[in-house]
This record gives sequence, C-alpha cells and structure tokens, in this order.
Amino acid sequence: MQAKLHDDILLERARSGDQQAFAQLVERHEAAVRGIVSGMVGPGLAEDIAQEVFIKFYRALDKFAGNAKLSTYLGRIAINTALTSLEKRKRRPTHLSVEERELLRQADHSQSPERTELQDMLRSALGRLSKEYRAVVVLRLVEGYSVSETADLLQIPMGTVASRLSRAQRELQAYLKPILNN
Amino acid sequence: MSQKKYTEEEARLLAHRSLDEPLSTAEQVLLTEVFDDFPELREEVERLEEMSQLFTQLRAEPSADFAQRVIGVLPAPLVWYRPLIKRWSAVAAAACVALLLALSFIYINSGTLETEAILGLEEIWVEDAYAFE
Repeated sequence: MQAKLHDDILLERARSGDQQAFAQLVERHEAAVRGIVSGMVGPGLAEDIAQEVFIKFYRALDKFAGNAKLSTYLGRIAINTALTSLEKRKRRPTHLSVEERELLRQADHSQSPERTELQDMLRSALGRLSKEYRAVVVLRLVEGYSVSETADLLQIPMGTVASRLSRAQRELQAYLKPILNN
Repeated sequence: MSQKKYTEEEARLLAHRSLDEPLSTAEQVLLTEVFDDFPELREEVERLEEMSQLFTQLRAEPSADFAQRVIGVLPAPLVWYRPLIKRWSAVAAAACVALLLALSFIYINSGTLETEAILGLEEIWVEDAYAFE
C-alpha cells in the first residue's frame, strides 16, 4: 500500500506544477472546507464557493509559509471567502428556497427523509444567526475546532469565541426547542 | 463573601475548553468551583455537548469528484518560471554578480566603462569604414 504523503511533500510538488499533487491536497481537505462554507452560506452556493477557496489557495501556493497547519490556513480562506460572499448578498436569505431544497433531495437519495428534515432545521437555525455567531457555531459545533483553533481562524480572542458561542447557543436553543432534550 | 479567583469570562472560557481537551488536575478543581459558582455554565456546557452532536449532522461527506472538478477550473497551469519567482532573491543576486563580473572584465580590458567600451566600439573609427573598400 502506498504510504500517505505528508501535506508538505504534496505542497512542494504542487508548487513545482504537479496538478495531481494539488488534487490530492484538495481531496484531503475538501470535506472540511465544504462543511465550513455550507454552514456559512447554505448548501446551494457551497460548491462554487468551496471551488473558489481552492482556486485562491492554488494562486497563493507560494505565499503559504507552512508555519500554520494547512487545515487551519484553508479554514481561514474558507471562512473569509464565505463571509465575503455573505456581504455581497446581504439582503438575500441564507436558508434554502423550496426549489433548492428539492434539488438537494434529488441529488442525494441515500439520506433518510428524517435526516434531511433534521439537517434542514439545523441549517435554518444557523441561517437565522448573525454571521459572527454563525461562524463560531460552524467552526466549533459543526467542524469541531477547539476554542483556540477557532480564535486563530477568526482572528479574535478566545474569550470572544466563548462569549459568542454562549450567546449563539441561547438563540439556537429557542430555534431548536422541538429537537433539544434540555 | 469569598473572593472569586476568576472573572466570569475566564470561567466561561475554562468551561468551553473542557469540551475540547482534558484539563489539568488544577484546572479540573477550578472547573468544579466554577460550576458551583455559576450553575448556568454547567447547563451551558451540557447544551453545547448536545448541540454539537446534532450539528455534526451538517458535516460534509467527502465528494469523490470534487478535486477533479477543481482541477478542471484551475487558472493556467503552473509554468516553468514559477520556481524562479520562488527563488527570486537568489536569481537577482546571481544576476548582479554576473553584471559586476562583465563590467570588471570590460574595465580591465579597456580601462574605461564608457558606452563605447561596453558596446565594444571604442577602437572603431570612421576611417575604418573606408578601409574595406
């Protein structure tokens, strides 16, 4: 079995023009990037924005010094690109339209209707949070980043991460009342 | 009334950090005190644990063809001069050294750095043009 190449080796190869090495890096990190983007802007636009994230990363390959983890670096590009996209379409709702929802259902037959319904409810609750709170919830609760990683990604103090998450969970509690135990 | 060893913000941060990583023994003792002083923080941590389990449902599944779609929309392929850009400082230094060597060579041979000497025309005279006739 071929040993898994370290990100640094793939980065070096990608910098010298090896697109397959770049593709391997994308494969390794795409789920996390799509998760962040989808949580921030909704699944309808997630694919395009996630692609934009990797194109930005490709263009900045030489600038990535390697002093941060690649996942953190990509996470930062993902969150910033998603926030910029939200700024651009400020007045548009972030939750899915009926048509978009139906399209997503058709695209993934493997999911049970109950799971899809739960995901819709969670996405809708996320969409009602301000973008600052949503970013913290997506990073902490969806993607499982630690307080310090989240602070690093959003470039805010750890105390601010904790206080934003605290307020966000109070709002979420109201939106998700029917499915929460406590 | 006993003086608290921490602010509410520090207490919240400690409580939230307890969700990420095992705390040291001293921190665990402090967390117990925090939960006694702020029972609402204990509830908050429990709710966050529950919400975290729910929200992991929104994690994206790996996509089999996403990487190839990205490759398909990448800008122009990486070109041969990219490594040069990456090593631009070394390339610039080498170019300066080469230029100094060339100028030194010209000076040693011609004793001057005038334009004619650099272009190799310092010993050509108008009369030379007729010499070949």
